[in-house]
Amino acid sequence: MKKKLPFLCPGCSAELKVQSLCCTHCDTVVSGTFSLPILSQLSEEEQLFILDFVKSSGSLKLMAEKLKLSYPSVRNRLDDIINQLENLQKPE
Amino acid sequence: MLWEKLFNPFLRIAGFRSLWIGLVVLILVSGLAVFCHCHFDGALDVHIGAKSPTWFYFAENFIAWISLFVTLYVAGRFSSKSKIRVVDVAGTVVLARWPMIFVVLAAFIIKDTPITAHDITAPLIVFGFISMVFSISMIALLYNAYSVSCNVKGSRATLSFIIAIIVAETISKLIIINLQKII
Repeated sequence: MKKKLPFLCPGCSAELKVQSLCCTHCDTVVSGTFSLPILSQLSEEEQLFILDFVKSSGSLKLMAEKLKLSYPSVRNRLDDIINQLENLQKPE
Repeated sequence: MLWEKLFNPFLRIAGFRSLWIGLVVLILVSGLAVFCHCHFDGALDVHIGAKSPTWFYFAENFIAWISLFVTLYVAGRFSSKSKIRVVDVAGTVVLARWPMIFVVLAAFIIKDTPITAHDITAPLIVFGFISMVFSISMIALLYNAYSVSCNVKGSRATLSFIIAIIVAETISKLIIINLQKII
């Protein structure tokens, strides 16, 4: 089963932080408080879209052909993601 | 899926592809209108009227399309933050008028029926019903065309769309009335 990385607290909906990282090779554990990268706070579908967009050299036309969608549909999806990223980047 | 294809084909078709498909339909509708004297004398109008020169039926349809496309493009520029392409608005708006093909075909039902203010005949009722259903579906398609091509959603989209189609209707009506005076 593929696990989904949670980024919001299920109790109070606040942003979650990473407290520990471990090496599965030697069992070393690093503890601290680390912020999640902004991109990881997007949904899996949105992350895949960004990945495809980079792989298409940022060409919306290529993306539209690949996804079998119209150019404005792809542009709208990208604009929605940009809007979401801008909201996530806003200082609290 | 079928619902999406019928009422929001613009998720998959836009730009030059929708423009040429829409223009073919527009020319076909205008050509058929010549034979049944069906007048698209406004952005959202359809009437059965007097015989007019052939070019006039084509002019009416082109005026209806251009007035809608220009007003929706301007509305989109004001209400959207996205970069809007003219060809997307022009293409999706002309394709949104495809249900008019059913209206013009329905007009053949009452082609030879004399119509006066007192005649409410069965063919007239059928034509009225068909034209109403497909005119409403055209408005729904126009809204989706505007929403997709200009990336506007929610109440902002609804309000700007209503204003734009009222302006388009007024402009197209004025142009067509003045054009009628020439012929």
